[in-house]
Amino acid sequence: MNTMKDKLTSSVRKAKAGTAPQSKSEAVDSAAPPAAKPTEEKTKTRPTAVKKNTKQKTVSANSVKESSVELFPSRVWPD
Amino acid sequence: MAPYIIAIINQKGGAGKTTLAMNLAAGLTLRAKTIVIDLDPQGSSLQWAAMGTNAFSTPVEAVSGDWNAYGLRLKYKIYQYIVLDCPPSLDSHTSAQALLACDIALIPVLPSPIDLWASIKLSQEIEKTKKDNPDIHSYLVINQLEPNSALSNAMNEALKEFDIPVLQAMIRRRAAYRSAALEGISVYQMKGNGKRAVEEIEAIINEAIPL
Ligand SMILES: Nc1ncnc2c1ncn2[C@@H]1O[C@H](COP(=O)(O)OP(=O)(O)OP(=O)(O)O)[C@@H](O)[C@H]1O
Ligand SMILES: [Mg+2]
Repeated sequence: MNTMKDKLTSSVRKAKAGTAPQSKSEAVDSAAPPAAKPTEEKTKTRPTAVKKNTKQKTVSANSVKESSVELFPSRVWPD
Repeated sequence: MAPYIIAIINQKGGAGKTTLAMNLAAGLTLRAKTIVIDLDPQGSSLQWAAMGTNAFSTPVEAVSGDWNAYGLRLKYKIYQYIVLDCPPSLDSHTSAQALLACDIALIPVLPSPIDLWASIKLSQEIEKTKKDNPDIHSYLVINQLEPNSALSNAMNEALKEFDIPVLQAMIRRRAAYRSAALEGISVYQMKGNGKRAVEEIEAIINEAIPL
């Protein structure tokens, strides 16, 4: 009865330890790489460049995931 | 009084950052002067505010370049609340600055394993941030909850692994949140259809945001 809860919790624990859950067939050699660290830029830089911009901006292909391909919930709760 | 900065952050795409940022800001606007800063190159908050014929209740602006907490507070000092809609990445100047700048980080998470795995690193980043921003508060906000699904019910145990408290107030999956974006309004402007969604956002404000 608690299987789902236990599975979910242990999978999150694994992800936390830097080990993504692995498929059974590739369990031998494919430990997940550690997640990238954020650049540790400090707040000493100039307090500038805050600018108004009402135009839609372009997508930076490297860092940004498209939520449209990430998530297509099939059901929406009615109001 | 210095602005109170609320970062809506999660490196996982599609967790509900923009949805929470825009509706939270609308709720806060009813209480005090509020602005949304769209930090995401996708520009979703800006686009949301530009939709429809009516003006969005809250101003939405973008920042660019080498901004920091000091500059942000100075530029927007007339506002009581600054809501930061962060990009789906921790690996950027923007996200690091947002965590350093904010008084509170609200982290929307979806009740799904993949989302939990992808989001867990954030709790470690927030721990690190505490060296430079020791007063930061952070909360997980469960989004797109389906109360009768087994997975949603299994979430609570798994969320304890995050070392970040979970808000009691949660957001259900509702059509109103999507319609609001399409119309360029918040759920507060939806009249009857947005009533339950408004109650959810109000519960988040009352639980997490000092007024
Ligand atoms: N509670 C909800 N009920 C129904 N739909 C929702 C809810 N929350 C978010 N959505 C929908 O899920 C999708 C992703 O939401 P949103 O854009 O707010 O996430 P995000 O974290 O800002 O994404 P990104 O990482 O791409 O910036 C959108 O289509 C949005 O309308
Ligand atoms: Mg977004």
